[in-house]
Amino acid sequence: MVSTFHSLELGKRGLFAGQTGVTTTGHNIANANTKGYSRQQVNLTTSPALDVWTSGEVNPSQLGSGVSLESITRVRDRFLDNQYREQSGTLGEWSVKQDTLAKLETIINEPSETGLSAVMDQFWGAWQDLANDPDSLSARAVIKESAQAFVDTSQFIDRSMTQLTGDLNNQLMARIKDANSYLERIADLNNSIRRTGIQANDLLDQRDFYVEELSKLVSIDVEELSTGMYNIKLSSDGTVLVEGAKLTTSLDSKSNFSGGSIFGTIESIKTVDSYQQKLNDMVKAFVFGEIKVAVPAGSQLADGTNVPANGDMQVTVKGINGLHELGWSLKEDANGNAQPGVALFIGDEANFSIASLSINPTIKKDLAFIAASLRSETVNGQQKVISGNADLAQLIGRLRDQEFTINENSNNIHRFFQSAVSELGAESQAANRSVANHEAALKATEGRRQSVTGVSLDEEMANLIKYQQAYNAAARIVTTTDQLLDTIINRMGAR
Amino acid sequence: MRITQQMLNQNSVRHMNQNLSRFENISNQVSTGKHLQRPSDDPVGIGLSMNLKSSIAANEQYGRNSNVASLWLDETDRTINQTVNILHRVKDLALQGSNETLSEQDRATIAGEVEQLTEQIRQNANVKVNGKYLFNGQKSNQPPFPDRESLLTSSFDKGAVTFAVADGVTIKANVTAEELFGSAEDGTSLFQTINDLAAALRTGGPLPLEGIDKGLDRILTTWSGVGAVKARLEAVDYRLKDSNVELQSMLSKIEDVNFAEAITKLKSEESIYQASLSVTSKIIQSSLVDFLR
Repeated sequence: MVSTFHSLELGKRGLFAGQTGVTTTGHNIANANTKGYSRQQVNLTTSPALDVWTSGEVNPSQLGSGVSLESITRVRDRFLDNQYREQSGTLGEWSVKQDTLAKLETIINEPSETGLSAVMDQFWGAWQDLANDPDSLSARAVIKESAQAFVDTSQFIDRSMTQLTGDLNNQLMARIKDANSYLERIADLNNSIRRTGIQANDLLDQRDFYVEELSKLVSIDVEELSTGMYNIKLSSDGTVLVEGAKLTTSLDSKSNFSGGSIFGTIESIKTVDSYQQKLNDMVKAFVFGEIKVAVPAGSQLADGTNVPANGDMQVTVKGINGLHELGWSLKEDANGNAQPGVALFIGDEANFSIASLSINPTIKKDLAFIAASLRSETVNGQQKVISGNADLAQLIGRLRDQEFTINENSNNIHRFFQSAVSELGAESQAANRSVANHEAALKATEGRRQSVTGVSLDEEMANLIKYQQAYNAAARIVTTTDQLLDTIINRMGAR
Repeated sequence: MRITQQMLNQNSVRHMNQNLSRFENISNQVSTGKHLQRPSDDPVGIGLSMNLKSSIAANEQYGRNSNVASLWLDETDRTINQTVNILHRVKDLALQGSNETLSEQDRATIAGEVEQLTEQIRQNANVKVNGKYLFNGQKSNQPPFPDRESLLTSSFDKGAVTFAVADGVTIKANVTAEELFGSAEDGTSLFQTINDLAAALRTGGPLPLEGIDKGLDRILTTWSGVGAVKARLEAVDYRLKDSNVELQSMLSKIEDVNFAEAITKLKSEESIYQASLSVTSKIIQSSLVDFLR
């Protein structure tokens, strides 16, 4: 026969189970909006039964002894966690790329009425206007202004790209710092979890949250040990970053990254660099690049060459500067001799950078140094320009369609710029599409994960009622047992 | 599938965001009238559009060039016309002077008039357009015949004044003094002939009637050349304007918004956005909490 107080004990266990249920439900409701929180559930089991001897059977029967608390676990799906980490890394990478490409598009400023393409069109137009009126100073002033606009516009683009690279470098450093601080916290939490045991639900949640944040920055592999601790490795080359409670390797800019927004930042810096280099090569070819031009018959060039009257002569010159130097300006020296054209742009040819490009100060000071003519004559021993000749102005105006050699490709400046802009557009469009796709995939995974781990208030409210009623019922067991004991103690013996 | 409040919340926010961003995009298109705003909107189109814009700019420039060329040709045409009239008068006078019955006095009067006409022709030859001497080739800042003495020399320039009027099309818009009046070096100078005429009138020698005719022929030939260039210029100009219309319409097809379509889309995006707002307001507010007492 079992103890008289057996039912009291059973009721108490029921009360305890109900209370745990209510408390856990409360914890879930309170943390419904906590980042990284996964809902917890109370796992109950029957407590060990007692053998009771019954008359009907050979073997003893079992008398239930109520409920016992087996565990409180978090509801989580490892597979979805892994998928989420992978996808958020890819999304992180593409988001940075997309952002950078969008900024580049803004910097390039095409299509517009003020972009580099329009500025170059104005420049060619200005030379043709000079060709229409070859001894005009006002046409020369327009050329100077449009050349200045070309320098300003290309320098603005170049400077903005340099700034963008600087910003990206700062971001890269900040992100690496973030990644290292996440690694530290993960190692700390590993340590806490080892001490507390693998049912430390809230610590596990926190650690998973940091692992997820880390995986947005850099692509990692996570390995769970039997002690409940995580080992973290770089996906790229398997470098161990966290081993149990130890932070083994800190990340720096030389680490081998793949995936994640850190990798995206590194790639973006390369992208900006390549476009900046393209622009640089283009402007360099424009100013200094070798071109072949057909000098009209009968010209007397400033370098002393006389082109025979019976046909054009192919001349190779170094860019617009070299071409301009072939001609005669309106300027005369102290002896009354006409001066040849000077270099239009000043820049370092060997070590070219757009930032150091400028208009020749000689031209800025005196517009007469702009040359339009390819003919001169000797009058009374003095070299005089034939100012009505506009062959040079026309040649420069036609450079618009001139093939320049840029990175071993032959193309005119406009086409080269257009193809760079088209390429940027295509890259940016691909990045937009990638971000949209990966975002959708991540949201789907997040939705499925939320579906498993998220707190549903409806469910929690229903559980609350369930546990409350169970608690109430368990209390009734205690009351009933109390009445039974009352019967025995007060009514049976006392007479 | 188990649905939680947070999922509803996140999804609603995300959908509202997406709808609003599409709404913003299409309203941007409607208010700017441009469908191509950034290179990524249409990477192929952007290349085309830049190319077209550049061609349009070049065409505008060609238009300006051809206006200047046309000014030169018109002015040349007018001046030659006047010169031809004067030459006809010279020829008349020469015919008159060849009449044997004329007295020496009469012939001297005719010679005087011929000399006056020479001066008129010289002035015509020194005519300027836009501050530039028409008939002095590339030395357009100097007159071809600064004084009477220079008429019998060939100090004028023979350079061409050319204008780029279309892709790869350059026209020569000037006529040089040599083409009009011949040169002293090879004995074709018109002024020499007229000079001889005046002298012959005074001295009574044979009149160079044939020379006058040759000079007149030369001018007429050159004149018809001017007309031909002018006709060619007009043809090029016409083609230029034609291609400009074509280029503009292509650009518009690439860049511009189809308004009927865009506004319909705008309306539909607007109602989608509003629907998502109203759905969100319904979904987010209620849970079992509201119904349990």
